Amino acid sequence: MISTDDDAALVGRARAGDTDAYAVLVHRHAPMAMRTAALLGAGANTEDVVQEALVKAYRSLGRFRDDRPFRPWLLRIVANEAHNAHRSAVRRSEREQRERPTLAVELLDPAAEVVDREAREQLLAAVARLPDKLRTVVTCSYLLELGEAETASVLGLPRGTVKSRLSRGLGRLRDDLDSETHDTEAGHV
Amino acid sequence: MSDTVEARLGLLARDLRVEVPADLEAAVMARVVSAPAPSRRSRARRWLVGLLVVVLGAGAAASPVGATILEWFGFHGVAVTEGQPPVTDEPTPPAEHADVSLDEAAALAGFTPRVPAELGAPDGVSVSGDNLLVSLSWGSGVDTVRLDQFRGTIDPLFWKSVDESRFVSLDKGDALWLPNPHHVSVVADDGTLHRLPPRLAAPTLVWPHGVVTLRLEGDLTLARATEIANSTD
Repeated sequence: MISTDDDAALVGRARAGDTDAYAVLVHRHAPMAMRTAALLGAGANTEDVVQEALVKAYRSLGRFRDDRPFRPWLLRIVANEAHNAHRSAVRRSEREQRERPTLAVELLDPAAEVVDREAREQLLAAVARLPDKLRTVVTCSYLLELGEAETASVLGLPRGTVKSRLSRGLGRLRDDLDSETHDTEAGHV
Repeated sequence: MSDTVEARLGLLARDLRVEVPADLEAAVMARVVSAPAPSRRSRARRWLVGLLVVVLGAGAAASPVGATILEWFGFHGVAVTEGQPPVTDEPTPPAEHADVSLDEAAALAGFTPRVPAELGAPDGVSVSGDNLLVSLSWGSGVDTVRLDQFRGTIDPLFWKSVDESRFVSLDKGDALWLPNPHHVSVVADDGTLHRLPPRLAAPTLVWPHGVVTLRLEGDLTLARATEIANSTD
């Protein structure tokens, strides 16, 4: 399964019917695909979302443009699937309990010594409370550590929109965290 | 709070772990191996990439792809056959629900849906499950007007004139006018799978707009359809 071929060469072979070449691409990109789906809010459906996206990507290889990088193209398919899963989860939970699903705190590594766990959970919850448009841009830029160009192609947005939503999203997070800190302090006084 | 929110997000990212399930790759590959190979398409086939809207006469509606396309031309994913018997039934274009906002549709489909000024804000907006097709609609019942939009390919086009459809001029280019009710199918790009059930379509105007192909359908005269198309920025 180990291959040093670059993505474009593997795509070329996969298109020619070499499914082993696609297996290498799957192996290479599965970790980031899982991370993208989970952090964009696919929740309990993360595995299904990624499986579906990887199969769809294979079927769509004919549409992949060789002069573009493979990863953002794939992650965009993942993000679309995750978006649909998230949307239906939000609807379901609105019906059932009038509450948005939060980003799973169990994503915080339980084995590792997570410094200041409470503050991390608070931040994660604040990101989850952002409106979808801001949440997705903040998540791609900071939690998935994609650059501006890659965030733009994964979310299918112009770069200017990524920039402005990112600054609005960070502003909202600052306000949200500030008010929460003050509440907590007030509660302890 | 001394740390910036940016720095805190960066630290948070490092503490988030998402495992790849042990059987994920095997599950994907099992499905991939049984799928048809995703071969590169020839130039003619690439017109059909993404979406193929096949307009057929009643007699051939059962099989939209294959030998029944006698004379077709690529029009960013639209193919037309001619010489089929006329349809006598009254079509009603399906209206869309207000499923998503225009912004959400843009984010899903990857292009900004065009809204003709003549029609104003749509009553319904939807995006197909595969995010290829954005549909807007106005009104309801037999008065429904709908506008389907999808990203076409960037290949150069050519077309052949055919009898029962005709090319008309818009302010910004050519369009194809299908004045009579006709059968329409939306099929997957491998030509085997119906994305939507075949249905009877009302008069339709098809035109390319940048990288997007628009398909306006409703009980419209050519003059009115042209007016609406010209009001699309």
